[in-house]
Amino acid sequence: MEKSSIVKKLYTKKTQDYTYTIAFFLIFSFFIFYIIRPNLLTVFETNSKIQQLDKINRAYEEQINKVIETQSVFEENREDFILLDQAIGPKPEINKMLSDVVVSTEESTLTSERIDVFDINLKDKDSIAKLKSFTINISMAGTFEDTMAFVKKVYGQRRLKLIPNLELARDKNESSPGANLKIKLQIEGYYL
Amino acid sequence: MNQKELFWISLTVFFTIVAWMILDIYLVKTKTTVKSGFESMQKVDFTIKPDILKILKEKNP
Repeated sequence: MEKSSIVKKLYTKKTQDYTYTIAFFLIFSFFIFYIIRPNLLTVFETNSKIQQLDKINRAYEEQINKVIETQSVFEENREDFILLDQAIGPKPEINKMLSDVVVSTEESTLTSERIDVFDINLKDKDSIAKLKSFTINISMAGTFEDTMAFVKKVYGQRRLKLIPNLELARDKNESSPGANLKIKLQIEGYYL
Repeated sequence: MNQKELFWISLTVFFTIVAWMILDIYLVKTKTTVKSGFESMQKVDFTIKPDILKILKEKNP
C-alpha cells in the first residue's frame, strides 16, 4: 500500500471515528488506573475506617457508661454490700445454716429427729465465682401450722435457702386433728 | 491489526480496568482495617439491682 493511500485512509470519516474512540478508551483507562482508582480507594478506605472506628467508639462508650452506672450503684449501696456476703457466703458455713434451722424450730413445737448434710465439695477450687449448693435433709415431727411457720422463718432469714422438697405425712394410728405430722424437709444452701 | 481490532482491544482494556476498580472498592469496603483490643476486653455485662439489697436488709440476720 502506498504512503499516500494510508494517509488518505486515516483521514476518512470512518477511520477517524475509530481512532478517537480507541484513543479515548486507552487514555481514560490510563486515567482510571493511575488517578481515579487510587483516589477512589483512598476515599472508600477512609470511609470504611471511619465507620469501623465509630462502631468501636460506640461500643467503648456503652462499656464506659455501664462502668459508671455500676460505680454509682456501688457508691450508693457501699454499706449494704455486706448483706450479699451474709446471703450467699464464700464458704458453706454449715454451722450457721444449722443454727438458722434450729432457731426456726425454737418457738414452735417442732422436734428435729434427724438432720443429714449432703453434697459439700470442699476440694473443688476450679469453679470460683460459680454458685455452689449443698443439701440438708431434716426429719421433724410437729403440727402443720408449726411447719408453715418454720418454712416462713427459713425464707425470712438473710442466709438464702431454698426448700425444693417438703413431705408431710400423718401417722395412721393417730386420727385426731391436732396429731403430730411426720415432716421431711430438704433445704438447699448456697455458697460461692 | 486493523482499526476495528484495536477498538475492541481498547474497549476490553477499559472494561477490565473498570471492573478491577469496582472489585477493589468492594474489597476495601468489606475489609476490616481497624484493629482494636475491644474483642479481647473483659466486658461489663452484669447489672446490679439495688432492690435485692433492700429485700435482704428486711430479712432477719
